[in-house]
Formats: sequence, structure tokens, C-alpha cells
Amino acid sequence: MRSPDRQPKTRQPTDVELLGQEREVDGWEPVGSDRLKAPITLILGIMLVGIVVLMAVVSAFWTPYDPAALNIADRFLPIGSPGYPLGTTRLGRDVLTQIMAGARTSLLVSILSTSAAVVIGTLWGLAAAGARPRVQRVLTAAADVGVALPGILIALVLATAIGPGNTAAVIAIIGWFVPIVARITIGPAKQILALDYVEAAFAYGRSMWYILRRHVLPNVAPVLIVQASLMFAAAILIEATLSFLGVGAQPPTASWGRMLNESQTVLDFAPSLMIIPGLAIMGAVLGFNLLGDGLRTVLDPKQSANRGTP
Amino acid sequence: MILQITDLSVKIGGIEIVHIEDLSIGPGERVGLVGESGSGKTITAMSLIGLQPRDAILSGSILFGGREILGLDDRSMSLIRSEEIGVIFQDPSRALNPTMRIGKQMAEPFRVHTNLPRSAIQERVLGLLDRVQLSGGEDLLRRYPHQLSGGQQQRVVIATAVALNPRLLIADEPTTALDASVQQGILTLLLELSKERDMSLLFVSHDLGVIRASSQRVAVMYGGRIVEVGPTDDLAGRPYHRYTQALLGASPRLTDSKGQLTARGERLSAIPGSVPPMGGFPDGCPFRGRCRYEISMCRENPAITALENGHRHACWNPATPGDARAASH
Amino acid sequence: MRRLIFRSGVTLLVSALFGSVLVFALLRMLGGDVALLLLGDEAVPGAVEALQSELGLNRPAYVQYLDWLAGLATGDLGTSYGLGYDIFDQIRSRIVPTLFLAVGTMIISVPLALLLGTYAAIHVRERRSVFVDVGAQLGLAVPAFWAGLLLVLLFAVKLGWFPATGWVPPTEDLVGFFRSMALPVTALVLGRTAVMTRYARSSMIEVMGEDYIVCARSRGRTLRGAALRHGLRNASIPLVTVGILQFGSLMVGAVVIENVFAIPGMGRLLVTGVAGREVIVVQSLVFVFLLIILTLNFILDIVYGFLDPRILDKPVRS
Repeated sequence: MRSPDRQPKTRQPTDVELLGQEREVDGWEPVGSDRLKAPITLILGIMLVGIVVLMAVVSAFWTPYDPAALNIADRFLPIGSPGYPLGTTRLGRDVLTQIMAGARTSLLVSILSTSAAVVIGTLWGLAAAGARPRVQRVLTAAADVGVALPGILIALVLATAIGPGNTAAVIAIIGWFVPIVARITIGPAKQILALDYVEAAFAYGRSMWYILRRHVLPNVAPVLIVQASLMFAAAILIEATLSFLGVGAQPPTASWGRMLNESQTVLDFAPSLMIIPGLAIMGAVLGFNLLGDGLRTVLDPKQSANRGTP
Repeated sequence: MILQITDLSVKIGGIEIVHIEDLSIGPGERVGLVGESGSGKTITAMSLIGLQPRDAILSGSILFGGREILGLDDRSMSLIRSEEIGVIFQDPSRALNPTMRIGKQMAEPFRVHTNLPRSAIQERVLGLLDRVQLSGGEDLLRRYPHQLSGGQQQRVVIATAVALNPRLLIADEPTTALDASVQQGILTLLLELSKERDMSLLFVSHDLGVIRASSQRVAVMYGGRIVEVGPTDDLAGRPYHRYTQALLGASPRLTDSKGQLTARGERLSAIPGSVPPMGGFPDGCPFRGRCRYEISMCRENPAITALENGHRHACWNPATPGDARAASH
Repeated sequence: MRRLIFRSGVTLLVSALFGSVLVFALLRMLGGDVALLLLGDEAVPGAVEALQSELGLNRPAYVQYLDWLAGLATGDLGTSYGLGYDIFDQIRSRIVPTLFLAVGTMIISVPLALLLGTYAAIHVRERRSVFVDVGAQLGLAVPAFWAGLLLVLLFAVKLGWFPATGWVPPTEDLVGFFRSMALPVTALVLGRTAVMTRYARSSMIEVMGEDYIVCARSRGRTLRGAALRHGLRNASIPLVTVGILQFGSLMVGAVVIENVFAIPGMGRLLVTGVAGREVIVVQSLVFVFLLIILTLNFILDIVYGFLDPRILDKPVRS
């Protein structure tokens, strides 16, 4: 395609590139400022996540009130009422209890779904990386299709088939995430498989699975960990969305999303019922996002937060 | 003096990358800046017009036409760029915006610095195309960079750089990314432009042959410092600094009497070792550790020895005529 | 250019066909018995069989599939089992509001993200850029439907400037249309812009490190001038790509917003369909979504041809 008098010619490296400087000396890559932000965001992320986890764990053993109990007489109490620091819902349930129990739902769903998705997706990705070319192409294309489809569409389709509830939410999120994890794993896995010392391992007679397990997996782990943390955040958001739509956790299981749904009709005289669960969701999502970003800067400094993942 | 550099220091991350004590360029003069990759020559050239890397800190003095331009803010500096000082780059395929038509890019200096109407600009641009021997006229102007060959692209870059008749043109490795067959043409063009417009030329390159063909004076850089400077012929015939000597010995070609590039066909002697990374040059003379003629004195910063004709060097154990002849044969 | 259109068009058709099969198969496979789903677990055995023959569910799979495709083409998909509405009619009438929501959001988000991202890129490493970063982080963490509710609380309930719910077709009342769109679009824009600003910023940063920016500055452009006149166009290419690709998920994401603002769009229909386990509704809707997404990819290929002239001279990507 090139015109005749122009052959590919390697660019003479600029003075600085050859000096082994890894970062762009143009100075446009904000390595410096990111390094500075990393501890702060990481700390903030850990704090927020810590609060959520604390609430979830504690609520498994104790909550101020029974999350499922109704108490119509005491409904719609405002914030700061005696005995109900955050007020009560339209069914008289203590908001603080609901938030704590909701934390448990959110974390449970997101941890289950994300872990499963990571496991399945990684297996898919590794299998694709190590497969014969034709098989590899099919597996990769399938992953691409899965990534291209809007996740919530997959989620809703699965929910139709399974019926509303926490199970549906978990499976829906798994369906959403698995192709993404697979896609992310395939690239680096293939790169590692092409390395010299891995080729040597093949020559020694090691099986593909052994090599995938011993050489590829440990090296893609950092990327996966960072991705998992960001997926936790997304999972929390998705669970809240599904519950908001009525497709997720069903009563009497507490859920932040459903609390938001119920708050719609009484927005004018009990706005706190909408604001508080929303803050909880935002806090949890923000926490995991910051955690993920912080982890990324720590685990893989060259890939700064600017090279954002889709 | 068009350009007078005094005590220029470029620091990145607290480490001094470049230190130039004294370098000047006169009107219409063609000065070469030669050195291997990693010698700091490109950073020096870019620093002259404020296009140094974002986190580089400059100090010292750069006088252009008697006016201090070091430390000028971007806006003030932008008025000088292109109008007074032009730049051409190493890789024209990257220097041109791939999504903008040639004509629009060539018109840019006029759009920025003048109030000329579009038609007048078009006229000038076509004239420039002519001058750099690019045929195609308006048709070419409508094309995109990737539709041109490397040589054509570089001619476009040159035309744009000299569009407003700057007094100084900085050429950073203008022929390096081009085919050998095309290089001579570009060189000739640059020389002609310099002569007919009385335009000074700062020619940065690692290729001694190219420098010899183009520059009247040359400064040899190593480790961010000028180790020897003087008239090109003097330096080539009678180098003093051991690095200059080594460079000459390692040069695959020079020029013949007509100033044309030739292949040398002689045995090359490589310079032992490799260029240290930025900030990793030894104390004292930067060429320590790779120099065959190192003496204990080299641990100290070499003093500058001034010779005739503005020839200066900074070497404790400079080459003698006998050495020089042995090296260049 | 014509070659590009042809190749992309073929891709569109093939993908659409493949997609329809996939959707159909997926729902039938996972959902198990459609009639059982519709009637629920406590259905009387006889009723299930009756419904099955009524809906033609005991015919072979490929027959049902073709029948469905035919229905899509002719406009007859039957009626909703649970709520009795005509499926095709509902889908058709609901495409418009959803499209308006999605298009409106994109038109605002993409340029906004570009500007914010450019600002953050130019002032990277300065304290000023922190605001953009923090803003983006917050925008990402805020659930769109919560943003919507907050907006309703402030602007509809407390201030009364905009309606809290409802949709007014533009043909009816243009001002009313804009008023009814204002809050939902704003809610969507917040999240979208946050996502895209990160892309815009990283894209811009990459672009600013290119040689042609330095060259533009050497022609006398200031840093900002070079960024806007040279950088923006090159940086926007990946951004527009992302934008169009995300359009599909945006449309589906409008699902939630439609619920909050009671907008009669496809998203709302989808949700009621899911809740009522209406397989035909869901599979038809999902297919329509897919079709729209594929069409967008097609448009993207064409737009790419315009934005990046290098594409035209290269073979089209498969």
C-alpha cells in the first residue's frame, strides 16, 4: 500500500527513549500525579468498603430491629426520631436496619456473582488462549459478542427465564460479566504463551493445562484482581438496578434498590427514604471503584488509570 | 548573532540532562549539532523554542536577536515560532496531522501570524510548493499526509516551516527517517533555502556525513555537553576531542569535494561501550569509561581549550595530528 | 466508500440473522416451557397443554422461529398473554421515546465529555484537573435512577419547573416535549458523561503526546490552540466510537429512567415483560434492541470512513 520510494524505516529513537527512560518524556503521561493520588484514593476506598463490609457482617448477627418485621403504626418517622436514627419506611421498618441488611444483600450478590464470573471467565479465556487456532477464533468471537451485547439486556433475558429474586440477580450478573472477563484474559494469556521460557516448557513435554495453570495464571492474576474489584462495584450497581426494577431481591429481603423503588411514591413528604439508600449505593460503588483504581496503580504502575477499561 | 546560548541548563527530575556553556549562530550561518542518540541534542534543539518536554526545567540564557527568549510564556513564544524560528522534524509522517489536509496544515503559519485572506494564503502556499519542487498544486493540497511519500511529506514540512521566512531554521534529523535516495534531495533543498533567504540553520544529526554536507560549523555533543566545536572542515580534518575522533572513525561516509554524500568503504571502528542512560554519565568528562585515551585527569571537568577560528574543545588528552590521521584512515 | 458501505451492510444483515437465532434459542433453552412460565408453577396440568396448543408451542422449534420472524416482518406478533396488548403495536409506538432519550443523551454527553476530557488533559498534573477526576468518579458511582429521583425531588417536587413524569410527543407540543425530556436526559447525561470523560481524557492525553501537536505549536499555535484544532479531531475518533458502541447499552439503560419518569418507551415494556415472564415480548424486544445496535455499528463504520481518511484506503475490517 505504500508508495514506491518509501520503505518502512525504523524511526531513530529520540535521545531520551534510548536512555532507557520508560515513561514518555513528552511529559504527557501523568505518572507523577497518579502516584500521589494513589494512597489517598486507596485509603478512601478501603474506608468506604470497610464500612459496607462491616454493616453487612454485623447485620448477619444483629440488627437494631428485625429487618422483616412490619410496624405500620410507626411508619414514615423522620430522621432523628427516638429509637429510629434514620427514620422508618412506609411499612414502619427501621431505615438503619434496612440499610444494614441491604448491605448484606448487595455484598452477597456481588461477591457471589463476581467470583463465579471471574472463575468461569478466566477458564474460558485460558481455554481460548491455549486452544487450536480454529477453536480459539470461535471462543474469542463468542466472547466479543458477549462483550458487545449490553449487559443489562443479558441480565433481563436471564431474569425472564429464571424469575425474579436474588438467584436471578446473581445469574444475570454472571452472564453479564463472564464474556468480559474472558475477553480480558485472552490477550495477556496469549502473550505469555508466546514467551520463550513457556515455549521451552512445552518442549519439555508439559501439557497445555499445566502451563496455563503454572505460568499463565499467576501472571494474569494482577489484571484480574484489579478487574474484579471494579466488577464488584458494577455488580452492586446492577443488583440495585435490578431490585429497583422489581426483578431482583423480593420482599421481605432487604435491598437498597427496592428501597429506592418504594420511595418514589412518597417523594414529596419523605425524601429521606430516597436519599439515604442512594447514598448507600453511591458509597459502596465509589468505595470499590477507588479500591480498584488504587490497586491498579499499586499492582501495575505502568498502566495508569488513564488507560481506562471499557 | 542570531542566536546566543549561554549557560543553558536543562533539568529533568532534578537531574541535569544538558548543559551548554556557549553556543552561537550567526545570520545565515549553518551550524551542525552532532552526537549519538542520547547525547541530548534533540532536547537542546527543542528547548530553544520552548518545546522541551513538559517536566523539563530550563535555566540560563537564550538570546535571539538580542532578546531573551528563555522562560517566555507559551503565548509569547508562539509568536516567535514559525515567524522567526522554524522547525522541521525527524519523522514527517508523524509531524503531520493525519486527519488534516495538506493545504490546511501548510496554511497554518499564515492563519496564525497574518491577517491575509484565504485567497492570498492559497497563493503563497502554492508558491511554497513550487519552491520545494512538489508538483500537484491544488490537488496535492487537498490530499492527506498518508497519501504522500516520505520525501514529499518532508518537503511539505520544510515548506511550512520556512513559509514566513524565519531567520533561523532548526532541523532535527530531517533526513534520518527517509530513504537514502531521497536524503540528498532534502539536504540540497535545505542548503539552497538557507543560502537564498539568508536563513541560519541549526542542523541536528547523528550522521557525520550529513553534517559535513550541510554545516559550516559543527558542535559535537556528548552526555548533554558540547565537547568540541569549530569549523566543520577543521574538525573533520583535525579533531581534538577523543569523542570527535572516535565519531569520525566510526562514520560510514562523509562527503566528497563537491559536498555530495559518498559511501566511504573503509573499515569502521565502533566506539566501545554504549551511551549511558540519562543522568548516568560519569563525573568529570562524560566520555570517561568509553575513551581509549583516558587519563586520571579526566575525573575533573575538562577545561575549555580555545584554538583558532573559533575551534574549541574540552579534552584533557586531546588527539594529536598523528592520532587524527591514524583514526580517519 | 461504496465498498465500505457494501461490506458493512452485509455484516449487518448476517449479524442480525445470527442474533435473532441466538435470542430465540437462548430464551427457549433457558426458559423451559413458555406456557408454564406464563401460567406459573401452580398451573393445572390441563391448562398448560391447552395454552401450549393455543400459542402454537408444540410445533417444532424452527417453525416457531420462522413464524416469529414472519411476525416481525408483517407486524403480527400476537397479543400479550398477561395484559392483552398487541405486541407489535406496543413495540413500534415505544421505539420513538426511547430513541429520543438515547439520542438526546448522546448529543449532549459526547461533546461535553470531549470538553471536560480536553480540559483535564491540558491541565494534567495541575491541581485544576482534580475536579474533573473527582467529578467523573462521583458520576460513575451515582446510579442513574437515583440521579433521576434526586432531580425529580429538586426540580419537580420542590421547584416545580419540570414535570415529574410523563412524555409529550414533539409533534404535539414542542415546548412540552423538551420539558418532559429535560430531567430524564439530565439523569442519563450525568452517568454517560462520567464514563466518557475518562475515555476522552486518556484519548486526549495520548494525542497530546503526538509529534503533530509539537509541529502545530512550532507553527505558532499555543498549547491550547494546538489541542483544540489538531488534538480534538484525532482524540474524538475513539470517543465517537465508544459513544456509538455504548449507544446500545444506553438505550437499554434508559430502561430504568423510563421507569422513574413513567416514559412509555421500550425499556418500560421490557421490564413489564420480564416481570410477567412474557417470552414473546422479551424476545421480540431484545431482537429490536439488537437490530438497533447493529445498525449503529453499521453507521459507525461509515462515520469512521469520514472521520479518518486513512480508513478509506485500507481494506474494511470484517
